[in-house]
Amino acid sequence: MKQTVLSRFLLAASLTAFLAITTSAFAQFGTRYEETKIDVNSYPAEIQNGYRVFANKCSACHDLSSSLKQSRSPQAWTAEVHRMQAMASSHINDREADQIVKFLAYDETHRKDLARESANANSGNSPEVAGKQLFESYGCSSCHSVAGAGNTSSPLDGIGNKKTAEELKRLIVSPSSGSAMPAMSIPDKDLNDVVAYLRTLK
Amino acid sequence: MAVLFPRQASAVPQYARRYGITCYACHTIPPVLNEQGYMFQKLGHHLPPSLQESKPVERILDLVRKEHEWTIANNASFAVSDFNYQAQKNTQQGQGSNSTSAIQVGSWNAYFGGWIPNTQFFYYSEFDIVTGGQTNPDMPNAHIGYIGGTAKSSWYGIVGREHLQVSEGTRAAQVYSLLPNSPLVFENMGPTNFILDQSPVGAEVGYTWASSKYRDILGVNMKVTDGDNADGSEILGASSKNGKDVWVDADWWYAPESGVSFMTYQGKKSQIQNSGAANQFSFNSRIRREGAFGNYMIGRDKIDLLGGYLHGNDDWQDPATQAPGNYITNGGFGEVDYYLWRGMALAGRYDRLRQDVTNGVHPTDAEQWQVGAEKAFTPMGNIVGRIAAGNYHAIDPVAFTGSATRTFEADIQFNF
Repeated sequence: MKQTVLSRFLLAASLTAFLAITTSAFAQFGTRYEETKIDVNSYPAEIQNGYRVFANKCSACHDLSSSLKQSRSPQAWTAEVHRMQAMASSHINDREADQIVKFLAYDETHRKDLARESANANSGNSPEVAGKQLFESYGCSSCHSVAGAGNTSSPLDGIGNKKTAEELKRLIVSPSSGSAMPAMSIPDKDLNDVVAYLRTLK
Repeated sequence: MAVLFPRQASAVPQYARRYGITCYACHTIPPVLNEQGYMFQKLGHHLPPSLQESKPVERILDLVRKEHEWTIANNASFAVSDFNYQAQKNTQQGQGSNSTSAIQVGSWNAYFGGWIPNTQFFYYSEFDIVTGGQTNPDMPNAHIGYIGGTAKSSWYGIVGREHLQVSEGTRAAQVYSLLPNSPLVFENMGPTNFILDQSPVGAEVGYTWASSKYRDILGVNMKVTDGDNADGSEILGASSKNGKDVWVDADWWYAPESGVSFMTYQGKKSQIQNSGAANQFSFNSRIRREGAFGNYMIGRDKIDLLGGYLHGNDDWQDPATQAPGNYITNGGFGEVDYYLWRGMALAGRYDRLRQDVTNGVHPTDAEQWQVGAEKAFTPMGNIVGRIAAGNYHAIDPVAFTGSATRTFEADIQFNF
């Protein structure tokens, strides 16, 4: 009898915990796997093929948003794709790697550059506003979150209190060797705007 | 290697949360592990890094330093639950048939696994609230380990309670499959057989080597445990004494997602038979298993051909006459998994187990076939459903009575 009562209590407690916790966990998954969709119809046929390979191969481990949001130079994208090629279970051959790099480099110099120019134009000369838009267009939220939005494994809330502008610049341009963060090669103006935005996170 | 224990493993979704990746990074479909999932376990719950020919190999300490901030969400899976429907028609020789069906909470588990920040120690525990439809709180896994070496050449040591070895073998040797039930060869718990996994507490060591781009992975593992509550069978009484068990396995993965595993298990149990009766006697039995399992993946995640063979030789003593003897089994299975697209697969499997008991009239067979499908319902793969139909037929090697079971099963698993 006691065993039955204890079992029912545990089941009820588990159900309550399940409903409460999975709701927040599901929300976290939902935020992280929010999809970025792009229209590649206007891209050259070769680049469209590259996009298809990119979508098929890279989505095995990542949601595509994390790659489509990040911004890198063509050389950096080449290095990154080669790094991914050497991950367990990636199974990307050399031809596929070349196709993926071509797509990412094209997308970088067309869609992402346009997005950044648009962000600068719409900022009304406010570095903080421009910085917030650049934070998104450079794909910072694929690894970081602000106020729960983005990748919550590395939140940036309160970083404005913890780091000076110079420290933030140094972390973005040349992160410490043990860090998982890649060195970002971005124009000085964009760097200043992003740092101005980060300094507002207090 | 987790063979010989008919228990479904689950995906552990906090790992995907930690790295911001999908479940498919480590599973073909949860819970079936791929090479990356295997390496993840072998590297002390750290994501295997890129192994480029021209680049220096990262030390485990480098991986530790790159880890995300430790949070509860990155270290705990609060609810891994399985809701299932099962319909069965059982036919027993000389007794006619009966049918049963039920919708139930099949399993409800919580996992806590991760690493101690800034150290090379890792830990893993599993708390089961519901198992097999029964509310039966239990903690079958609770261990701590240390990982050393580099991503290319690593070793680990573990102590604690451990149902499943850290390395769970290559794909064919993994207990879990796309189908709800494990292959019969793994579930071999005939009327004269032992359940080999007995909530053991012990120690495990292992070594792993990986080539550039993980084209090849070699793993060797050994576990020594002190089993308790050895549940022999309907003809052997419950154990009153712990017994030592040794597990050794060697795995070779070769890209893409194919591999071979060899294993051996040697155990010893001491039991009181016919307890309290005039003919009570001590039964000291040895239990042995040797097996080989392999798979070949045609294309990546396209068609997977799997098979395995397991030989068993257990000491056996007739409870009435006390005549010593052996219970010998030879079991094998073949399986074909067809991945239609990511998150959707069809599977079919045939198992055959031959059982031979000393002084038995003749060897008897148990056969099972199953066909089914598995589908993931979310892009990241954390909600999966399965449906399967099967038929099981066996002749009891002691009583020589036949039985047949037809099953239809459907389940849906939530991993958060």
